[in-house]
Amino acid sequence: MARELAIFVPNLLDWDGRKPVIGGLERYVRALAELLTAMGYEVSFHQNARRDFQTTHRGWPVYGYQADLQHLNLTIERIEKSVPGRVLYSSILQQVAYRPGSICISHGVWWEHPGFSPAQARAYYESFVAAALTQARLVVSCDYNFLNVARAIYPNLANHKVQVIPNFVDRERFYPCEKERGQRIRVLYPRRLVLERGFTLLQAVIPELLAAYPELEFQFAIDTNTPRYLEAFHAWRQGETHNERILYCHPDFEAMPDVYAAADIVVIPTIFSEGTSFSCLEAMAMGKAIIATNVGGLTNLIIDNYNGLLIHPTTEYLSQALRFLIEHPQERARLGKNAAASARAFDRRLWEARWRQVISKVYPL
Amino acid sequence: MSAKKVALLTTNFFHPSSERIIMGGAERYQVDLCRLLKELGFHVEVWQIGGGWTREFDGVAIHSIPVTKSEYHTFPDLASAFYENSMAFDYAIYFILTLAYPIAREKSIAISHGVFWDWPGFDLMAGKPEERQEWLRRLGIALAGPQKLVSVDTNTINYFNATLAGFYHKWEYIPNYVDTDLFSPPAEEPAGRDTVRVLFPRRLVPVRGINEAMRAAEQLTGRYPWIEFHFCGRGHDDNAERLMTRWAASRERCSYYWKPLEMMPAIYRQADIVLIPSRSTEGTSLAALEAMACGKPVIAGQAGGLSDIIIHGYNGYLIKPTVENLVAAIEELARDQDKRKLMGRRAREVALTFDRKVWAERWGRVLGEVFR
Repeated sequence: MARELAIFVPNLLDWDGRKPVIGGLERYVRALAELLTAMGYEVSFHQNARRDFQTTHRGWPVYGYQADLQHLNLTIERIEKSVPGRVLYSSILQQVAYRPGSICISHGVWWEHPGFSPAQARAYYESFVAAALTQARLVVSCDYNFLNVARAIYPNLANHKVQVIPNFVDRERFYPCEKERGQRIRVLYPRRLVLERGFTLLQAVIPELLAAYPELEFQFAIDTNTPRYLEAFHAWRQGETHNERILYCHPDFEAMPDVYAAADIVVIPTIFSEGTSFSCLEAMAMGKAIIATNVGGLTNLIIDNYNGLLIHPTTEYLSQALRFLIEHPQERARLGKNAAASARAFDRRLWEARWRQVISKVYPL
Repeated sequence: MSAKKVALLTTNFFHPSSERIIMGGAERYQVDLCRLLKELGFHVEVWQIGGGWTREFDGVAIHSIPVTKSEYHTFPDLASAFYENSMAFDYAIYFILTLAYPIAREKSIAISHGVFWDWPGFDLMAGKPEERQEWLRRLGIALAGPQKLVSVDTNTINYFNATLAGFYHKWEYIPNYVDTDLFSPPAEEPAGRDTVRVLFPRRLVPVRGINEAMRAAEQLTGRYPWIEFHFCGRGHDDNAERLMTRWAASRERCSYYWKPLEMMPAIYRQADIVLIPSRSTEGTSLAALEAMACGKPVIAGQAGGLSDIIIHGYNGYLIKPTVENLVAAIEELARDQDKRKLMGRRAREVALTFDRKVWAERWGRVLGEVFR
């Protein structure tokens, strides 16, 4: 069999083909490409672009196909026609047509937008989810939540087609280490500045908490993907009374262990569209006290009051959970210890072993 | 001031036409919830389907309403009659989500015990797309009425947010519970037993993975003289129980029996591995929590709320419950006593966070918000 395997991906690199995009899906695909390369496959990437381009990223050829946001379906059709051979579809929401004998990856339920009507929600699962379940050979899901939601909609199909491989953490890079003793209690938000990640939820509780606890500070480890989100962040920060205790940084992935290490509490306040979040797994592996919401795959990682706090995504619950952890250092330590212990179950090597089996079965060499 | 009155609507606590009652998970939940309401100072009465009789159970009056019609797992006549009958009550609890269709009391709470429409057989009831839509439409109405929606697992909340997103703010996650004093690990290791005991503590029904568990038992008892299987639970009728007895009698080291609830802690304590291989229709299983509280590693299916209480490879396993996967998981644990102990210890730790007292506090908070 041919060794070539084409990976379709929305944007591994930015649309000019220059800078790697920061995001969970992109990291996932890189890790998968590393594994595929080690297994002897010749991997290529095919993605959206401002203008057609061809470049390499870490030795892998990356092809960009001209796209505009309103008509992404035309671009994926063109990619589909241009690429011969076997394909791995890295995102279930990139296409509605699949080649037989292919794998599609679901990174979690993504369409549960709080403002959606039943008809809007239905349009999503009836196109994207149904297409993947009927056409792809296998849908690899990063969490049990997608499997269970899909099965509650398509009992038979989902049961046959979905296989769960939870996301991973590299425990050689993320491991518990003592925080330097300081006077401050630091809360870290290590997510992108997008609506679904719950930035606004955290924003809403910060003023009262900073006023109530003079020893408290917030650290935002945020991306620079979208300039207008960043501008909004700065405008908000500037207007805050205690903004000297609202810190921010734009770390690259290499710097993340140190960012986690300096925190006492890590907040993952997702509102919707979540799988087994890398941020959550990394914070767990670093032994931090985590507050996560009961959304998507976070429910497969955090057991409330065992290895973190699992809350409903409201400002009331978030504020209450933060106050509890700020006031109970021993509880932080207990939750963090259990988080680090349970993170072992998500070791990157286990993820690789599970994927190896799946790849050998679906794309035999 | 007299006590505020709560009316609870269910379908079949008692069998509609007899005094037969099987205390399954839902029935136990109802009894415990009524006790909690009384502790909190409420007066509570129950309505269900039946010939118009009134009985009492555990100090609670249970009235029946003579209706039979059920469409799409909803009971419109029952819900309407309950709405009229409970007018003298201050608050209402819809013990099953679909009972809040088509009309619900204003100050009310509805409970979901887990997704039950993920079973392929559900297609027989609502297989056609238009029937599915009608079913979902009715659920949309059921969700709209009550002030709060309580779910025993996060899966149900996530399913509804992905289909009927408008009610996301009403949901409260109150996972099921276990009495961790009653269900506790053995005081000391049972000495000198040289067999590994695998326990299946559920009803003998296909959704619970009974068939796969039996096939796994056949293979593993044939392969290893030191493995034994115990099946402990009722069938849905006498015949199912008779067939199971016959099957167990014809096998080496396979036993079948059932025990009253008060004997279950001892049953769990004597086991080394507990199987909860549900294929669907599952919440945060009481049986799984009880096994965990007794310090036993659980091999569970990837259904419903089981992924809320088990982290695969940490305090148990989450597998697709095929015979092959069950055999592999049981084999792995059966051969590795250290792993069983470690997972069992963690299972107990996790179970402590699902203690009944925590459940009562969570319910107390929700009741305090709605019933005031």
